[in-house]
Amino acid sequence: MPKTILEASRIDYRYHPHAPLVLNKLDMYVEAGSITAILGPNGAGKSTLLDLCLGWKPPGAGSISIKGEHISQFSRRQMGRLMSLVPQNERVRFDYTVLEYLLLGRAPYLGQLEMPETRDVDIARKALEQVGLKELQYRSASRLSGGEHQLMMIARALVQEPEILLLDEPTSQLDPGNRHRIVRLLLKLNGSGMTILFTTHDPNMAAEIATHMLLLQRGTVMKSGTKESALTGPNLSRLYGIKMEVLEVAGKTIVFNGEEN
Amino acid sequence: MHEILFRQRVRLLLLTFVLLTVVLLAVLAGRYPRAGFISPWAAARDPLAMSLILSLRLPRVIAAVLLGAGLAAAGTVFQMLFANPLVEPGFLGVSQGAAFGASLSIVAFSSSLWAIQLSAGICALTGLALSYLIARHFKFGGWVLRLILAGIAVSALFAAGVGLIKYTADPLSELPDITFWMLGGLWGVDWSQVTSILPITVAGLIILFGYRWRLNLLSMDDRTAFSLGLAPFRERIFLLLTATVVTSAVISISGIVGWVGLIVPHISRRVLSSDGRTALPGSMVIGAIYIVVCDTAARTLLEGEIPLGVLTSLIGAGLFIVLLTRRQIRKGKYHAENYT
Repeated sequence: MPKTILEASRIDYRYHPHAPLVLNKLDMYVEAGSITAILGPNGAGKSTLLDLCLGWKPPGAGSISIKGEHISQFSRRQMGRLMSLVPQNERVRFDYTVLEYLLLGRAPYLGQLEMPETRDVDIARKALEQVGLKELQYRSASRLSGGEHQLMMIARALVQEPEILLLDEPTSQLDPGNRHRIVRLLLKLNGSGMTILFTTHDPNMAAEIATHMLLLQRGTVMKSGTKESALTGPNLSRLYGIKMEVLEVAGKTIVFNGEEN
Repeated sequence: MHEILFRQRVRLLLLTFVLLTVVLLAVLAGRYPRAGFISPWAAARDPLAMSLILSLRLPRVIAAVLLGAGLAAAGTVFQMLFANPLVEPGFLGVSQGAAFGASLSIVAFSSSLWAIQLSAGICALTGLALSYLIARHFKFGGWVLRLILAGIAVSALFAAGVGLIKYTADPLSELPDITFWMLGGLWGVDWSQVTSILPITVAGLIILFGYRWRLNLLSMDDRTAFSLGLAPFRERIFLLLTATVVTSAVISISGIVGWVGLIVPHISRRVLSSDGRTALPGSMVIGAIYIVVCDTAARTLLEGEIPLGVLTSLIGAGLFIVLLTRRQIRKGKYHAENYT
C-alpha cells in the first residue's frame, strides 16, 4: 500500500475575491518516493498549485496536508525542512559566492540569531558535489551560465535536506546537455528516497522520469495516476488541444506532436 | 569556517584597527594650542588641553562613531531588505520625517533634547510607514521604483512642512535650531547628548548585528524567503523598525547627515563581501571611520566649522557618481539589470 506524503483535497484558489477560480475543487495525492509531473497548458494553474503546496498561498477552500497532518500544523521552520522549492526565475540580487548562496538553504535548521557553522558548510559542499559544481564554490553566484544557475538552485534546495522537492519548470530554459544533467540528477535523488513534484511544459521530460502524472486543465484535474495510465495520446491531445501521440521506442516512452506524422 | 570568510574577517579586524587609530588621532586633533595634533604627553601636562579633550573632543568623537556606524548599518539593512543598493533611510521619508518632527518640536513643544528625539523618532517612523503604504497603492512600476517614488513624495511633503514651520518660527531663538538640523553637524555635542542616545543606538546596532546573516535571507524575494522557512514579512518589519529607530536616534543629535547610508554599504560590499555576515559589521566600521574623519576635518580645517552634512554629501554624492559610472565596477560587483 503506497503511502501518501502530500495530499490536496478539494482546493479552490483565486487571486482576488472577485477573480475567476484558478484552481477548482482540485484533488491531488503524491505518493512518498514518487516523481510526479504536473502537466498542463499555460495558465492551467501549475505554478499556483506548487505555491499552495508550499503554503505560500492559502487555498480559498479545501485543505492541504503533509503526512496526514494539516499544513497549518507545521511551523515555518518545520516546513522549510520538509519541503524545498526550486523556483523558475530567481535572480541573485547581491554578489554572493556560490557557497554563500547555498548556505541560505540551512535557514530552517538555524535559529534567528544563529549562523552557519562548519557542519552547514560541509552539507553545502556535499550538495555542490552532488550537482557537480564543486569547483565553482567560490565563483560569483550571479555570473553563472543558465545551466549552472539551475544546478545551483537545485543544490540550495538539497541543502535544506527536504523530504519533498518542488521544482517549477526545472528544464524550461536549458539546452539538451543541461536538461539531461538535471534529469539524471533528479533520478538519482529519487533513488535515494526523495519525493519529487515538478511542473513542466515538456511531456518528454515527464515521460522520461515521472512515475506519476497530474494533467491539469483550467484549474481542474483532467487525469491523474501512474504514468502508464495518464500519459496516453488521447489524454495529451485533449490536454493541449492538438493531436499528440505516445510511442514506445527502444524501451523509452516518447511523445510526438502527432500532426507531424 | 571556509577560507574566504576567514580572509574577510582578517580585513574586518584591520578596519577595526584603523577605526581605533582614527579615533585616537581625532581626539588629539584640533586647533588648541595650535592647529594640528597635540601629543598625549603635552596634553597630560596642559590642564586646559586635557579638559578640552575630555569634555569636548571625546564626546564628539564618540558621537561621530555612533552616527557613522548607525547611518551605515541602517543603510545596509535597508538595501538588503529592499534588495536594492540604491535605497537608504533618507530615500524613504525617514530623514525628512525626522527633520519635520524635530522642527515641530522646536517650534510647538520644546527644544529639549528628549522632546526633539521623541518627535523626530515618531515622525521618522511615520515617514517610513507612509512611504510604504503609498507605494502599495501606486498603480505602475515595479515595487522598488514605486517605493522610491513614494519616498520622494513623502520626503517632499515633510520638506514642505519644515518650510512652513520655518516660516512661522521665531527667527532669533527657533530658526537657528532648525537650520542646524537641516545642515547636520556635531558641533556643541556634549556628554549629556551622547549618553542620551548611547543605550538605544548600541542596543539597535547589537540587534542588527545579531541578524547579520539572516539579512541575506531577507534580501531574497518573498516566496524564496518563505520557502526557506522564514516568515519574511514579520522579520522585515522588525528590522526596518530597528534600523529606523537607530537612524532617528543618531540624527536627533546630528541633524540630517546625508549619503552615508547610501555610499558606505557599497564600499563595504566591495572591500569585504556582499554576505551580511561581513557586509554589515564592515559598514558599521567604515561608516564610523568616514564620519570621524569628516567631522574632524569639519572642525579643524578652517577656523569656523564646516557643516558635517555638507561635507558628507559632497564626498558621498561624488563617490556615488564614480561608483555608478566606472565600468569595471558596474560590470564587476553590481549588475544593473538585477535591480530594475
